[in-house]
Amino acid sequence: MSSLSDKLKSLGVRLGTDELPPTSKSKRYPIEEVLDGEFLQTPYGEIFAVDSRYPSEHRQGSTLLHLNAALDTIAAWAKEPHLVEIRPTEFVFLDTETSGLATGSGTYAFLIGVGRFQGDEFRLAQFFMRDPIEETAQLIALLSFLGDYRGLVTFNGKAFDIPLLNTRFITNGEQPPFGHATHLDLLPLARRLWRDRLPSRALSFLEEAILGAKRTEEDVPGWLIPHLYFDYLRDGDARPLKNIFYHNAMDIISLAALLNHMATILENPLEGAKKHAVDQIAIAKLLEDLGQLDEAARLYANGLEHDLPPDISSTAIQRWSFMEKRRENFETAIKLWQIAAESGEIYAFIELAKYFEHRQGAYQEAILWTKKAMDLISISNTLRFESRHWFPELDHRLKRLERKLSNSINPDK
Amino acid sequence: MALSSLLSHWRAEPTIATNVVEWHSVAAHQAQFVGFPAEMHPGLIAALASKKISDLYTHQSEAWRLVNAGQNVVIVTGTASGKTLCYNLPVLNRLLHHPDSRALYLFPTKSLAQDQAETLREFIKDISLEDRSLRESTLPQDLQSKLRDGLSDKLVVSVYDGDTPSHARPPIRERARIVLSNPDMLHRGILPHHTRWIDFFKNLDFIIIDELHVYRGVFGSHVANVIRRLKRIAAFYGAHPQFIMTSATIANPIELAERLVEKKVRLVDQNGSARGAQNFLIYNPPVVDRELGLRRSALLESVRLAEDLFHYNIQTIIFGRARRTIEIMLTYLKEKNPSNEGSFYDDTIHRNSHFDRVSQENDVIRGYRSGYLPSTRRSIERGLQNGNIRAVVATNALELGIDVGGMGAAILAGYPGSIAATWQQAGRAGRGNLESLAVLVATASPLDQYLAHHPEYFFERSPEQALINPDNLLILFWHLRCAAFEMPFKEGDSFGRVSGDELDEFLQYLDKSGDLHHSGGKFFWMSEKYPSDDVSLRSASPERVLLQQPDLDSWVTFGEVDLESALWMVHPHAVYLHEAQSFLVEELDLDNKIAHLRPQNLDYYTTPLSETTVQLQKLMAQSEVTAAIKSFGDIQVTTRVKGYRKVKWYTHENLGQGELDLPPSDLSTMGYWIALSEECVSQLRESGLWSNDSNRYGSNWSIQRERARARDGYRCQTCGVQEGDIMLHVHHKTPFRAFSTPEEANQLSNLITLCPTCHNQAESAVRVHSGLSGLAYALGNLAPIFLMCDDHDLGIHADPKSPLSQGTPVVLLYDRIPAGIGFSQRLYELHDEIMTSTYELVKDCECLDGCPSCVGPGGENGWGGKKETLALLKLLTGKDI
Repeated sequence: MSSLSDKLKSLGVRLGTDELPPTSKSKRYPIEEVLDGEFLQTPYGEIFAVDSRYPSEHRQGSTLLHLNAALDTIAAWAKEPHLVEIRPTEFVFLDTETSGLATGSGTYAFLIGVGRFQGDEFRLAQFFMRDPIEETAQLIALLSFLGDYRGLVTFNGKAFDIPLLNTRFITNGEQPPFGHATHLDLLPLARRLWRDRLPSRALSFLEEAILGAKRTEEDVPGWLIPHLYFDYLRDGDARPLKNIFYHNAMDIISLAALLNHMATILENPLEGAKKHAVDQIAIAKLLEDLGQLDEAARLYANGLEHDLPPDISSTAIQRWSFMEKRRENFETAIKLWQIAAESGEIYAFIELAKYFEHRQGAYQEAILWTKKAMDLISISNTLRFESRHWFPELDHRLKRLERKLSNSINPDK
Repeated sequence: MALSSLLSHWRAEPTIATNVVEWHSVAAHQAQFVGFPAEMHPGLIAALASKKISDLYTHQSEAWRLVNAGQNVVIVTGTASGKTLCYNLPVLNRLLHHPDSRALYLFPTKSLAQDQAETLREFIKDISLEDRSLRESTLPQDLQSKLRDGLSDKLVVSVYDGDTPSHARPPIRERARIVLSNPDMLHRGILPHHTRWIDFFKNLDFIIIDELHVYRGVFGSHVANVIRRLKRIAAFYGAHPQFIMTSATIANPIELAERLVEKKVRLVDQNGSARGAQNFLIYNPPVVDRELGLRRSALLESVRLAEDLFHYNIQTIIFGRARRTIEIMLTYLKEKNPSNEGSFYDDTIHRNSHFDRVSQENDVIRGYRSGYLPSTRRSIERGLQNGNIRAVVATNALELGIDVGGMGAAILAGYPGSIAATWQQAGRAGRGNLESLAVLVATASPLDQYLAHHPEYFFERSPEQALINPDNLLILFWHLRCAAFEMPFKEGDSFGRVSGDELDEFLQYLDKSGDLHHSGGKFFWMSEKYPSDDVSLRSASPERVLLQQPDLDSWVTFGEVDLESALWMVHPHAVYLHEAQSFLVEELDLDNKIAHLRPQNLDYYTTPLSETTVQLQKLMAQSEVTAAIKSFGDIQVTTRVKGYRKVKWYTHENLGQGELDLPPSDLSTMGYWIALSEECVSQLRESGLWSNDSNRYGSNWSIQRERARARDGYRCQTCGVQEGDIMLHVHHKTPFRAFSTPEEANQLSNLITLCPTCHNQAESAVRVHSGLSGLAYALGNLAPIFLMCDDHDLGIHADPKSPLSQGTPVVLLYDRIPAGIGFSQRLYELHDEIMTSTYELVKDCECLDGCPSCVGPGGENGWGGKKETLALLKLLTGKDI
């Protein structure tokens, strides 16, 4: 009678049994010998927790952790008006380290890190399950840390960490504690602010590029984390986990610093983003979308005074000009269209033609801009697609203008 | 009446009447009604009243009673008998009385779920959740309907499948009272994310499984495990749902249902619905070539019958077995009926042309199959309902549940593969009390021919057993991983019928292999993998070979086969058929699991030449039967594809062969084999009906052989190789057995010198069919009638000196599925019945000496082995030879 493993093998099952290192019978390195932490008692057993404190003047790179700016713009962007009512001490910064990236009930958060301002300090707690049987205790410990918090700050938490923790609470028969809190996920805001300037919006990248912080050798790459934990479960050697705790702590500190940084530059973008004209343009677009048009116009103007990559400056001019057109500030709009026309933007010629036709009744002027556009298209052979796109419209416009012009000259006809 | 005049025309027309091998009339059936149950929600009564329904059929009432008594039920009544109401009424009743209650409906296909969702919404739009006040109300009519509109949207019915957009999913999870889905979605999209469905699972009262008979074989075995997982998750949230199932007529509905849901199930099969008289005809196209056993094409004959129906203005549905065949029939039918305005071609070809689409819409003859746009399908369904479309040529896409109303007649161009499917398709004909007609047109395949000669199979108790094996080691194993992902197992847990001890063995294995972490009495999923991605419910082994064809400068995937089949289906130089297009295989890359194929028009197909060896792993059962010993057990089948042969289409002419160097493949599975007794073999041998002995070439053989070699200059007469260390062979041009004396056979003019390789080729060209291989061929083709499996689910092997029985002759049938699904075991149990049926198949076949419809086609010299097979079958069924 062959064993199950032989039978499965004969049926073609290959699960990599051979590749696993044998369970080490040698010395075990328990987590409490590797990290300075303590065991918290809960009704469901004990849980290992590391409690770290950072003074409020602590900086992540060049950025202060402590929230020093108003959250109005962020609240407007997030469509969470209650955000402005939440005091800094009522925010919790959260990040998890998990056994995988798959969503679904078979992925565990073996390390949950949470940070919170308390008095003059930033307090960071990391709850670690030495074994999945400690999960209920871990979640209960997290609950007591959360206490009466009102705001939750994460990085990609809407898609990943919070649904995952919800699942963990539910499978442990507990009510998830996140429903009532205002959840601010900084990832989409980071995308909004730095899409045009930075090649990556990963937290570790922002940490370096935005906050000016540099992780030590102690850090581990994210993809390795599940495997380090699986190895630990098999061999009981907690030493490599130290790096995961470091990684998690850095993520949470950066989260706090990032929120402070974002709030600061959004509170006063002219000053806060003065080093990066590209950022000013990004913020200008954001404010425009939020309806803060005067502020947006100031930022567009300021940003455009600096050297910008051509594509960014041309889209900025275009967006700004249409914004001014919508609020009927034609003085500025015309200036912008003239600048754009100089760099050969066909839309600008058309807008100018429209303006002179409909606003001024200056058909001659309108014809002039239309013809200029048509000339431009016909001489440049690189713009074949654009000419196909624009030419019929221009042609139609020209005919109408000429008709109007002749009617205005001979009104009896 | 059109139908009766057509039928008298057919009775009088000799070119039709002589081919009708069975003319069966089912008498009209009166409806049997029962009043509404007292506990029926007034909203339901009102909804039924608006459909002019004031009573229930007896089977609907019986289903209602059993469901309300908390039983699990399977309903087996005919097509159009109101099966849907059997589950919709008790489910809606519960949902109306209990505002939290939820139900899950499972359908085998997405389109069925869509169709049923529409039907349900249409039904409940008249239901108000506010009951009595409305029933007895004297409110003005418009106010009543306003009230209803506002309330009915509270009972949300939603489809949740792979096509559901992600933004629509959260509200469905939260609010839908009835979720319609399919087992694949449950497996991959719902169960692994069960925490998003808390309210749904907590209140899950009913699980409806429609078209139960579809869940058989590998698919059914997978789905049984998905249901084990579903029950496990529901139990975690405190729910223990009741199952209501419906099935087409099969031999073992209760057994199938109970194995699938692992609960006691009650049967409702007394059909109380009304039914007009039905004529069921079996039409066997006339033989045109007795030598080759060729009959007239079933497709052309079907078109001919359909034409008559068309001219008598009887609305007709014609079922074809494949997309290709329905296209052929559609083209013929349209060509022959030029009055039918519009294009002859299939809609999809010209679907971008507005003009063609318009003209198609006016067609009275249409096609219907998968691949048509949903909007086209809907318009055809409407055309059928309102009678504007007079004939539709369809695949079984129209067989399952899609409501098109009753047709006047149904023509089945070829046996659809199971008796259950035959009745489902035939049941498309018949509207209310009107007389209807169904014609099965037999093809040349052995099953079709067997049934044409034995129509009683259609009218007596169904012989078809739907088999599943949820405990198939491999299938169970993959689902246990999924279950462990969904929720940790605890020590001592069981999984469906899988006991704690058996489960523990799997869990220990998964712990060691690194998927699970065992601690504190639990087994936790500790892997980055998402195990349901590793399992496809539609196949036994998850490893696939992708089929790719050139597209501009890259290769694009157009299909897949499982790894095991790849060796014989898509080996290099093989001709592979995909949707009626033939492809030539250029390369099979087993490391990367990719095959490169090029579409080509070829006048031949290929058959693999393989060498099969069988090893016994474990004997499970054995017993003596007439003239043989039958056995059943675990075996290992090693197959090595050594070459292939090119065979010309239609004439089956051998166009040559090639060699291949491919690795052997092992299949651990279950087999059923018949070892012939010594007496049986010697009786055959004495009668000259045993052709598996090595020939004794007579006393002058060594002299004649030497003379032939000398004459041929000790050279192979085909390739010219000179004799070396090994002696060249001497081959009989006409087989030795064809002569009455060795001396005649050994005449020099009948001998030729060949090298071993050329000899081998020459022998296989004259392949003499033995009784043993004839039996294997016939058995393999007939078995699906008892098993509801496809013929490629079974392997056949004949061996005159089998290691399964210490070297005696054996015919083996085995499950072509790793670890087996139970086919072999069932064949073992049905041995006597199968031998009798196989004997009848061969005996009744009109061919002279073997044809594709009985023992298989003979070799080039016409040695079919029919006589030998028949003699062997006589002995096996206790007859004299």
